[in-house]
Amino acid sequence: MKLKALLNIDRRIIYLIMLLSVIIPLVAKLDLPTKVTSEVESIFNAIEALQGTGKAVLISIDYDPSTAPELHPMSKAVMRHAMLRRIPVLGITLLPQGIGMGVDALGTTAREYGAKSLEDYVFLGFQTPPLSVMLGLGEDIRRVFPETYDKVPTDTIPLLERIKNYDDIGLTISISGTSIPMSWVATAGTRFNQPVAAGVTAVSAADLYPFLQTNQLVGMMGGVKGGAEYEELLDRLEARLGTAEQRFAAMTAEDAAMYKTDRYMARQIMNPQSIAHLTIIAFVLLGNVGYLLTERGRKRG
Amino acid sequence: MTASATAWISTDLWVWVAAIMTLAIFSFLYRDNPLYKFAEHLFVGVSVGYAIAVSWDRVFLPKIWTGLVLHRQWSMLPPVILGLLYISFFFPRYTWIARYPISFMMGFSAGVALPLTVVTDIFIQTRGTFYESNAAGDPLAPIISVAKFQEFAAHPGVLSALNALYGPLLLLGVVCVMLFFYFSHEQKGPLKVAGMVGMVYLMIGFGASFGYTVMARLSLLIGRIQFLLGEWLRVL
Repeated sequence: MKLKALLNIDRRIIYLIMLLSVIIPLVAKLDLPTKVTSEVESIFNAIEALQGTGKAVLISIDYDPSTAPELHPMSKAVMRHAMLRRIPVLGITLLPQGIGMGVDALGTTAREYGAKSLEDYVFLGFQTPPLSVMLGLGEDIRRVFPETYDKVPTDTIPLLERIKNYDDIGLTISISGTSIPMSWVATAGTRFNQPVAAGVTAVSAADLYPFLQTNQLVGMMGGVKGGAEYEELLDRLEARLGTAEQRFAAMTAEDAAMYKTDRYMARQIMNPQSIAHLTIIAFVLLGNVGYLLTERGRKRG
Repeated sequence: MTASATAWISTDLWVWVAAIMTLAIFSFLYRDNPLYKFAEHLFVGVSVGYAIAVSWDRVFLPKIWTGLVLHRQWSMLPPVILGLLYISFFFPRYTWIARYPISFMMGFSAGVALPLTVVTDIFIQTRGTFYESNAAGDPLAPIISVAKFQEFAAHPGVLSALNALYGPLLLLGVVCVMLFFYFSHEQKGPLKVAGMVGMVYLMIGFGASFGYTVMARLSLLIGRIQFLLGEWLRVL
């Protein structure tokens, strides 16, 4: 009888337990270690290899606020890495809703690292249709984007005199909750031999592993875990260089606190995520054990 | 520090709006209600409105108004005419006219995407089943390698075993999953065994996808809880 009651728990009680398994680690500021996987490290290494080459990183910010908790930390981590290493960053978006994400990610990261718009980075904004944009970037960036997001004509930007097309871009990173990264692989990768990496929601991650196996993708950040790993790698690099403390010391206390929190965006999510996963596993086991025991009892009569 | 930063709860109007909308959506977990419906409809409306405004600003104004009307770039005229034909959707008697821009778009998309997709998703992926490739995509060595088994024999261990078995397991998985979907012959005998092995591979794949999906949905939940506890209630 008790077992039957266990199998018929009101779904709202399950929601409540899930909510608590998320809130408690957040409030208790649980800090679990982050293990770095090779697919994330290879993106990190690809950006490190661009240092001093003059080539840019193209970041396609193809997500909206609905997937921001997973993807925004990735964007910011990659941008921070490029700006730390003084690698030019080109930001674009193929979704109208991606504009706000791009402005926020590039703006806050640039302020932290003192990077200047139009000199160290450019946000080119939204352009459509995606396929034409991806193919057009192989010929001339300025033809695809006649002006930046801020309406600055791109033929007046010195950075874009150096960076004309994929030949001057060392790595294209597509950060998206859609199938857009696969289109980048097909166009920039297959058509133009451009190294492509992806940052995707966990839902899409399983679909992209075949492209990793064939090296069609340089690397992949899958879900918030991927972002957390990149943050960890960047922290290790900054600890080695000793740049973070210098930067924070030059800021106001409020800014320093904000940027320090920002560097843990994905890792903060990973802590309650781990506990919530354990809770779900416990529910799955409990449900199955309960089901098997009930079935056995029913057969015995 | 500013007064708003030290307050025990946010004093920012937009943070309050976002918090109330979040709670309205979460209220569906209890049961469907008008507050949830309102938030849902508002979200759809805002998204569509925003997309229209961006398209107006980034596509219509620079390409059609400035390009065609002000600068007389006549090359813009054919796509504009094709685009205008879509308006026939609103007039039932003339809906057939919309087939012209649709057929043009389909022809363009298929022509551009098909060769790239065939190479990307079929040729390179098939080659990846037999060969390991380097970062440039050039084939390096066969995926099933005697040397890897010799390495395992010389240094037995979990890693060397996985390294040796990786290729055979990959090839076996691809072949068996394809045989699982082979419907031109009755699934019996060796075909049935191969199909069952393929089904095991599929189940593992679906399990991984489902696990990732759970992870994704939880991340979004945690993101919202973080917002409510952090930016709104200032508990974190």
